[in-house]
Amino acid sequence: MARNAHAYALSANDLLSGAQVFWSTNGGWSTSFDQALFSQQSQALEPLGTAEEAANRVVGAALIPVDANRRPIALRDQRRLQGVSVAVRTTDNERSANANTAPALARAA
Amino acid sequence: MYAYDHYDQTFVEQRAAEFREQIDRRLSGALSEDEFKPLRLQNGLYLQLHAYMLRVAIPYGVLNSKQLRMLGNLADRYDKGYGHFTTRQNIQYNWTKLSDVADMIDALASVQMHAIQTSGNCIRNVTTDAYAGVAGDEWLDPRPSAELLRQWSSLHPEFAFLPRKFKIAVLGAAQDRAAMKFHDIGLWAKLDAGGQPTYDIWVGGGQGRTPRVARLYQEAVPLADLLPTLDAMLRVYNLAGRRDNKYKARIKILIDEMGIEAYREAVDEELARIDRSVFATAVTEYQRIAAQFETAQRPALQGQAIAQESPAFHAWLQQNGMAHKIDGYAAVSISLKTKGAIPGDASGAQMRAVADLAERYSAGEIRVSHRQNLVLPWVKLNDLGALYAALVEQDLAEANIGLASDIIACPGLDYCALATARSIPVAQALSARLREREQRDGPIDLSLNISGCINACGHHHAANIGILGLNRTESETYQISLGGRADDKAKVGEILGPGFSQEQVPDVIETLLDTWQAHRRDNEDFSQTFERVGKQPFKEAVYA
Ligand code: SF4
Repeated sequence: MARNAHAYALSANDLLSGAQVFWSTNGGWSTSFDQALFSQQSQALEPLGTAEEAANRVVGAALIPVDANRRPIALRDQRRLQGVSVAVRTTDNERSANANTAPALARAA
Repeated sequence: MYAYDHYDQTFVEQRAAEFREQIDRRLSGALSEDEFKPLRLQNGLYLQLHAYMLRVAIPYGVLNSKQLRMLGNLADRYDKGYGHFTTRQNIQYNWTKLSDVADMIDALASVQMHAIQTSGNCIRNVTTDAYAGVAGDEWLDPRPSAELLRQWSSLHPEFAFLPRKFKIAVLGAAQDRAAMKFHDIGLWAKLDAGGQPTYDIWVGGGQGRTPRVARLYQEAVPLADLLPTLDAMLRVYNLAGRRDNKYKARIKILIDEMGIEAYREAVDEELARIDRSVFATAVTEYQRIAAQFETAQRPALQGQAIAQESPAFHAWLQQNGMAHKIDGYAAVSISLKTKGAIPGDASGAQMRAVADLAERYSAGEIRVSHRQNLVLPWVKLNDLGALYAALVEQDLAEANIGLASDIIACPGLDYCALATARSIPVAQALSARLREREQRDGPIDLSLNISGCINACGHHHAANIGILGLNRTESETYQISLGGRADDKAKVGEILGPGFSQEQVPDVIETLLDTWQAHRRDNEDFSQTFERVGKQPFKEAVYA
């Protein structure tokens, strides 16, 4: 596995939303990296990812190698964790509020 | 504009219903991701870094107001309030939920749109000049040819699993505004002595890891021979193209490896075998399609005086207006590159506003350009003032079409699962800096394109100044190339040297512009200066 990796977290995309999720210390998926479970053994997390994919809860399960400060080592993981660099509405509340103000699709077209 | 007939509409509705069922089976667990992935990709649905992304086809970049309004509503209802127009004249939604996709596709089908063949190793959306049918320098409207190709290539049974994706562009004007020579096949439509369409066929162009300018395959192919010839060209590629290495699977590599002569011989052999009876209706179908594109039917107007006098208006018209084929009209570009903006992004509200303006001022028609802007192709000269005022209100009146601040940029590492670096923040910083410079010193006439990885969706190879974001030991570095161009003298840019950090890029670009100005003679464009002086002075200036 990754050189210099101090530990690993398990990440994936949520099946429904595609959002990045992390296997958490609560034994389920969380959108918060702060709640991620870290293991020094990549082998401990890999089968979990495979099983969760097979259970159709997530897709694209992959390990995130982190350094001693639990910071992802790979640029791609760092950027992904930071989220997009532009301001976007991020909550479902905002999204449904927005949908309510949008003209009904049938009427609009 | 082309309107779907019963056959087109049924096809799109059936496909929408089929994909809904496939999504339901995925959500119920009946389909695994491995089984579902090829199905979703055939319907334009990708999985990116933060969400699913739905890429919607805009055939040859042509939209009516109803369609654009729908795209705006989809952005608000199912995305985070915006969509991203791409260099292939499509639109992408970056925040799609799998559970929403079937409803999105149904909504698209209700306005004769879909997402079929916007992904996968098939013939993708055919692209063309955003000013097709209205450009003053055009000899043949390329849209009927593009529509004929859409019908030929949609669900073509032989070409659903090519070695790699396949991109075709069609052009019908003196000037190449579709980057035609950077496509797998480029068609340059012309008229023969009898006024009938013929096509110069170019093959093996492309960007990505191995950029190539297309080579001339054959000149003056008559319309009746077009589809058999393309079928034969694709058949040879389908059989002989490499499938062992995806980086060597595009037709440009096949042509490199076998040589254009051997390829031509293989296609001729195939053409001799082909059953031409299946193409017997192509010419009459072309004529049926052409009748729906009504350019020639619009009456010329008396050239009205432009009442609006403000200098800002004239600067906008000078930069964003385009001479029209028919007296009394102008084609006008709407820049999606306002200072500091994300290239190609438009909000739902902006899309609805442009749809309204198209209805009022452009016969209900809009185009999407491969430079990620919108075009209103049918503006009466005496409506220009009112249109400009309305665009100012929507913050859509930036007068920078074709200038350095009219940056092409791909989504990069903000969204794209394949990216090696971010491109959006680089584009935003540069757009702010360059727009300021343009407003201070006057227009900077050059192309500046940014890609977030070597796949080159941001066309960096084909730009006067190209920027490629790379990952060097887990930090972003931006490699600069100079001298590329996407017009009829298409050329791949030359790499300048070692890359720069994101923070350094704006200063480096300004240094390059200063160097150009210092060496520029008379009114030379960037390519002319670069070809005369070479890259050395630029290199010396930035690595000093
Ligand atoms: S160039 Fe690379 S980063 Fe940009 S959209 Fe294409 S694949 Fe993604």
